[in-house]
Amino acid sequence: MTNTRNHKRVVAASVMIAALAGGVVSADAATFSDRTATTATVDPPMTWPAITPTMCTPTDNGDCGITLFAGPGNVIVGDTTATAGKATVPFLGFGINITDPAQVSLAGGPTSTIKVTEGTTLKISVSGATGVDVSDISFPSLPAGSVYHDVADPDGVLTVVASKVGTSVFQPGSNPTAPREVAMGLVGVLVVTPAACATPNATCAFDGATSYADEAIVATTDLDYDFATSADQAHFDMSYFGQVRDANDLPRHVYHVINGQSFPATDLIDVRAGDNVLLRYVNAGVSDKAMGMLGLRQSLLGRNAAPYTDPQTLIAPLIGPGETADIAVTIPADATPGPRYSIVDQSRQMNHGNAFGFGGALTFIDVWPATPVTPDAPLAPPPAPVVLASPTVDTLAYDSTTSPGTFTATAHVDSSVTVAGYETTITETATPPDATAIWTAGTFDPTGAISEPLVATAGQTIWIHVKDSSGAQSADVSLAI
Amino acid sequence: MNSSRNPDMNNEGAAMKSNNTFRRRTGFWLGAAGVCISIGAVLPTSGVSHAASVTATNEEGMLCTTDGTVDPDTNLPTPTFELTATDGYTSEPDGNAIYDWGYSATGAFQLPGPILCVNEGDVVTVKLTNNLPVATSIQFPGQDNVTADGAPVGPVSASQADPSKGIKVGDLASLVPEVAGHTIPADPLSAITYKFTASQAGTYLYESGSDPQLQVQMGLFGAIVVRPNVTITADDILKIPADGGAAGVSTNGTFKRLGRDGTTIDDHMTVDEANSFKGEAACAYAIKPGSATCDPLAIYDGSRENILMLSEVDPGLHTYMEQNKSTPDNLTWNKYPGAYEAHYFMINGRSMPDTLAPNKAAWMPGQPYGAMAHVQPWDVHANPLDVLLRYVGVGVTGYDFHPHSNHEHVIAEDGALMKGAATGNDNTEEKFNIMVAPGSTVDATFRWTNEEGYSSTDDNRLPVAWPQGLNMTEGDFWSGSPYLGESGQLNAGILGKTQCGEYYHVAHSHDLTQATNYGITFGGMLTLIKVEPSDQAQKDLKLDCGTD
Amino acid sequence: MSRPKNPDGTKGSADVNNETDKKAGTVSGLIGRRKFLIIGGAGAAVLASSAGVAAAVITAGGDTPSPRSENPVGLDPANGRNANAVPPKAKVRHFALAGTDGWVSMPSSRDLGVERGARAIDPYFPDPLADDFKTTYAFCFRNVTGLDQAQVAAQKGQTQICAPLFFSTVGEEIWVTLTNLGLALRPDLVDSHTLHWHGFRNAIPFYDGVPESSISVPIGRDFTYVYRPEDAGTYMYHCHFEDVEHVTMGMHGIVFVKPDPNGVGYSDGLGAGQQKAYGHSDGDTNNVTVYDREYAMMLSEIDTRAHFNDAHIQATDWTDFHPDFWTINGRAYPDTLEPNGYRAGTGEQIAQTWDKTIVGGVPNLTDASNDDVSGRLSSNPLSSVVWAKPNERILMRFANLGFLDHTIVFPGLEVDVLGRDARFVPDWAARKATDSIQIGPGESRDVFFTAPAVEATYAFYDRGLSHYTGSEGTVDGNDAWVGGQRSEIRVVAGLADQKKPNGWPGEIIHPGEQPELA
Repeated sequence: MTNTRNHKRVVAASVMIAALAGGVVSADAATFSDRTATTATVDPPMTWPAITPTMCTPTDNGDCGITLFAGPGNVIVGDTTATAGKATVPFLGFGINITDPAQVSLAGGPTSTIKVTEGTTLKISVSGATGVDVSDISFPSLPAGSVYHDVADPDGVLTVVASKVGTSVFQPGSNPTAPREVAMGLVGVLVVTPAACATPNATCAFDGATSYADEAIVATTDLDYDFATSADQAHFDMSYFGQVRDANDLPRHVYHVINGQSFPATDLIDVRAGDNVLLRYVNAGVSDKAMGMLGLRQSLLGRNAAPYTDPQTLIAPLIGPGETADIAVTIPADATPGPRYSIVDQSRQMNHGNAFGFGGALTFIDVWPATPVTPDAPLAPPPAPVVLASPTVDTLAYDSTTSPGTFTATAHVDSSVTVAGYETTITETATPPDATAIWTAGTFDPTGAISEPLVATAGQTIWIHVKDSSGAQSADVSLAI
Repeated sequence: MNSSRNPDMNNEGAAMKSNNTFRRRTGFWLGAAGVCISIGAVLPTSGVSHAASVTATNEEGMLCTTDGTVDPDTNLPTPTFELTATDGYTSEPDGNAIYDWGYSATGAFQLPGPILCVNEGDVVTVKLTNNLPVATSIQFPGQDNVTADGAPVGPVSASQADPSKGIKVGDLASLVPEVAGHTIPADPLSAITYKFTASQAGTYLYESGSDPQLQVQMGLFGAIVVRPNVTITADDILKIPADGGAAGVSTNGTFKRLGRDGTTIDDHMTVDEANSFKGEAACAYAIKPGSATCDPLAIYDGSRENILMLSEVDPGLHTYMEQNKSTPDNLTWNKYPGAYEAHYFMINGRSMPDTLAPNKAAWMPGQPYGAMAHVQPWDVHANPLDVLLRYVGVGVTGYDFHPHSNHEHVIAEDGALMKGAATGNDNTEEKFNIMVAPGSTVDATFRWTNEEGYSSTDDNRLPVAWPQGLNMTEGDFWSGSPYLGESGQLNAGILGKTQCGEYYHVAHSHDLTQATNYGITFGGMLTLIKVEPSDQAQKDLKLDCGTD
Repeated sequence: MSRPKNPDGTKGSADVNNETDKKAGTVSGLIGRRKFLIIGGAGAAVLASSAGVAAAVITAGGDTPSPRSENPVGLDPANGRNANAVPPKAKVRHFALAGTDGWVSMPSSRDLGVERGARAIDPYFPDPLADDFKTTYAFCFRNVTGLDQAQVAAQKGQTQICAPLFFSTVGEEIWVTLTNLGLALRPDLVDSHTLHWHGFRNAIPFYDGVPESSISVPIGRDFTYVYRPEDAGTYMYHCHFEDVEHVTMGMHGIVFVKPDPNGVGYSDGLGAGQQKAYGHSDGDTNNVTVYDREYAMMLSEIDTRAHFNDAHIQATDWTDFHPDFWTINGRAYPDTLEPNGYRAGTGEQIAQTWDKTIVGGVPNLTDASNDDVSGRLSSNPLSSVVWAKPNERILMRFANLGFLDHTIVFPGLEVDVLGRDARFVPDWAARKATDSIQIGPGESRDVFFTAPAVEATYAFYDRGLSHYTGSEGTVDGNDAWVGGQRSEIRVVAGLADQKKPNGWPGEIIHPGEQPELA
């Protein structure tokens, strides 16, 4: 099997996506001649947890700072091996922490998911491409008090407290163009996991005690070619959006995608036989979806970030526009490897803009052998600890503008560590405890220097170490004030 | 019988109660002649003959197809069905004829496919022979360990598929292994054998997994009913929820209910009564899969079991397929040049008023299943067993089905009793609108209580007298009297289709555009609930409702 | 099968007065003898009327019994009660509805300007035949409770959308007298009307309003429906005559039933000015359905082509239904934000405008003129603005009598769905702290939420975001929400109490809205 898509994913998974946000369970293109039970001895590009935690840039008070960009993108839908039914459809997508505006994605795509643990306070710097109104990004599932613009944040940083566990959406809310922006696909996914999930390297839904070996977002979006390519969207007759026929009863080009791709380009969901799998269905589109799974019964744990008291067993849960459903399935231990269980909207719109059979919102759960050939690695392996190699204190600058005094401590570090996006934090060591000292988080400087404002009192001795996101920590450096 | 183990239970029960119904109903059908002319009968239907296992006809209620095959080695039941995918015609009440594809147990075209009734735990074999020009298949959502010719089912790549078929998208040919189409008349028909374990009781859909967007629309679907292996006890019957069924109102073992003033109305059935009803009681779900104990929520009158497979038809699409019968490559969804737009909406493949006609009505040979539920007033002592309705959503949209006159008690969805597995919470609910999502099933019980007991006897009359003659517009299913079991003079021109002063209540999709035949009201996805006087009342008033 | 019986459907002859039989002459074949006793010599009118000269002889209303009904509008039920009838379980609340047609208003750029109004859809919208400041043809129920015969007759051609809100209480007996005024614009249509109380339990067909299995009300006649509700909850009602047409043309509304205030445990957990949606006998034994204010939200859609076709004597293929307005309580955004209208004591429809000021906790409403654009919503009288004081418990009763599923989202509010299809949902099955509800055609939901502590305005809207026409304005001045199901929840401190369902704070109860028990 040519697993190039996989390999890309693996590379991406270990660096880019880790450095960015979101991402879906790693997967390969949904083709069926590539692997059978007999050839299924290759490990899947399996990485746990399957939805990458969002990389925070700690703010001054330790909140999770991220950037959220909304801008245009293009997706090729339809049978990419054929011409008929194939189209390039413009969309509007979100990008979390992206460095290149072109990295925006539709719901479930690699850059449109925020995944944090319960209670995390997000400080979101929202920006948008020209003409994209991001003045009111709505997080419908969160109570009013959990989403606000800080008065102390004139630059309009949006504060979002992940106060409810579960899966939900975020999208333009009340601004005058919101309906058209959402119709263009501008919907992101918010995944909030319990503060503590029982099993390391696993994930949890609502209940931290029940963990899942694997998880995936299955987000559907409806794309309307005529609307997406309309020169005058403001006057497009939205009553035809997503409809299969026009005013003259001729077919319209409507596409249904999962995580931004239409079959056969959709990602497979890699699982192991015997896995307990959590699927986070998101209907980012504007029409009902009944997400049927052939071969397994789905256990519906809750909707819209609100858990059910009793999980409900369903074959095809109906999900309304903007709604979510968290479901669990257990892959039989003796399941035959291969793309085994189809997931498809039971309204059976398995076509490409009404032009081709077997396309649209269709993908498969791809079963791999129960026993891995090699152990799975965490999705975002932490780099080697950042070591302060024989650190020396260069400068101690005193800033008289503040009191009791702001000092700048600079220490050299191993400049070979240049992985972008990794958090470098200066913290006070445990000994001796210094009740009066207040330390702030900082960012890594690729040149190898740490430049941090330290607020302390003259005469204090402080210890500095550097810690990366994995918790790996350098030795302490003492610094006398 | 005191067990629903017997697959013929329903048929016995219904036959017991409806010997005369056929004649009667045919009678009033002649009265309605003109709206139900079928030309399906005279149109050609193709098909090869198979050993069929359809049970004896009964005129109303769910008509099961069963098979008693037993594995000689294990001595376990292994129901085996031979289905043929073939084409034919169905008729619409407005006189239209629709070209369809369907699964048949006899080789003669029918729509929908046979209702396969099996028992929980059965290993079921379905041999599919294909008499269609295109490759086809069957997918069994909700069934376990499904195999095709011995191999676990899974998606089929085009390279593995019949090259004669039209679909070439990506590598996917079908969601499940399929059987080649029959394009050269001289060739023998190809077949494929599916096996699955019916591991959980419930109502299920089966449908084509090949180009489903087209083939299911063309009629390749049917239902599977899996019955639990339970024995119903008098105690189970005593635990049937009280009238109203409001949470917390039902008290185990009695029919106690809270009156409006909060006082308890203690009107419970005796153990003797419960015992006397065991024979007519059937069970849709055990307390949990595999259990031998019936859940009282799922007890119903075995002779009052109904199924409603909800679907829709775009006549333009069907006409295109008819015109391209001999060009298999054109028989795919993507080749249809038009845009999908449904104009007919069916229950069990029939549109109102055909939904009222008996099972296997002679004038609709391709549409053997009726859909009129039949009920007598609920009474804790005389008639405590509910009607069961099994809804199957075959549509491309959800159908919101609205029964008049009382809520239905939704007990299960997608073949799962709505009870908390861990908590035992009763999550069933009474709805006056049953949402049947695409690919989903819903099981609901129904009862109608003559709450006010209005009658023409003193002190029981309607609070308000009503206009007469031309001061009211009368309907054909109105007896001329508001009182159950009574009839009155009708204005000229009213057809008077009632037999014994019975009531008729409609049940229909509340997307009212679907309760039409190509836009004409009182058609489409609509049927009637026949509320007839109790057996006792029929005796007392010397009524002949044609069903006792 | 039919046996001899008196014309009013009763058996036997004891109650037949031969004296009146003679007097009645041929009339006795058409109306009940006992009825004739009540109405005296007026029987002569019957023959004339049964010839179908509808407009000429609208006879509902007033204290004089109608020749065609023993229980005309305004009749004291105590006198109109059928002899030997079931005794009332409680006193009777008597509503009167009239079915007719006329013109309603959807948001048009002609009336609202290009930034707030939808562009014209030639030729369907605005309909060139429409009255001034109206855009769209509709059928309707009007609330004519308390009007006299002449006033009722004057309502012909005075439509409204959606139908009037009415409600009852468990234990009451409700009479609803329906008068068919005929269609002013379509004298060629001889449609009868009915009232179907959607979801009412154990109804007999006679009071279920399905023409085919019961009776319906011809033009010029009236008929009294009787209900004795036992189950609290949110229901809906609509005409079932040629249902797909009459319902979508506007003959649909919400009716709901409150629990018996004298029922067991009703006062448990009830604060000052609070009510309950469900009683203990409905299953709410933990008193979780307490609320301070209630608002009914009827969801539907309008296909302007179909409405145009009915006005212009054109046929509509209802399976080709294609809505271009999506409504809450018969209004599309931004009209949803406007105040309630009302029916004056004389029957006239009055729209109200709000000057955006709140005086003493009461939004300052003034009557609009029906002679200018300010009165354009006089036939779309029901607001869908939700007013709440901080921390108040609010009940929103949703019903859907459109033909589409709707998914209503409440951003920033955690809503509890405690009622579905007029049934209380027990705690373990309730959908709590969610952000949206799915509601299909013919379904109802009782949605509760606690108003946030801080004063603010919250939106609620249909997340099916193709359900918005958008205003005519260019991108700069373009409101994409126009034409759809979007409204507001306004949380303001110090608001006056709510006096009636959907009432704005302090808004008075207008004549006919809540008839007294009799």
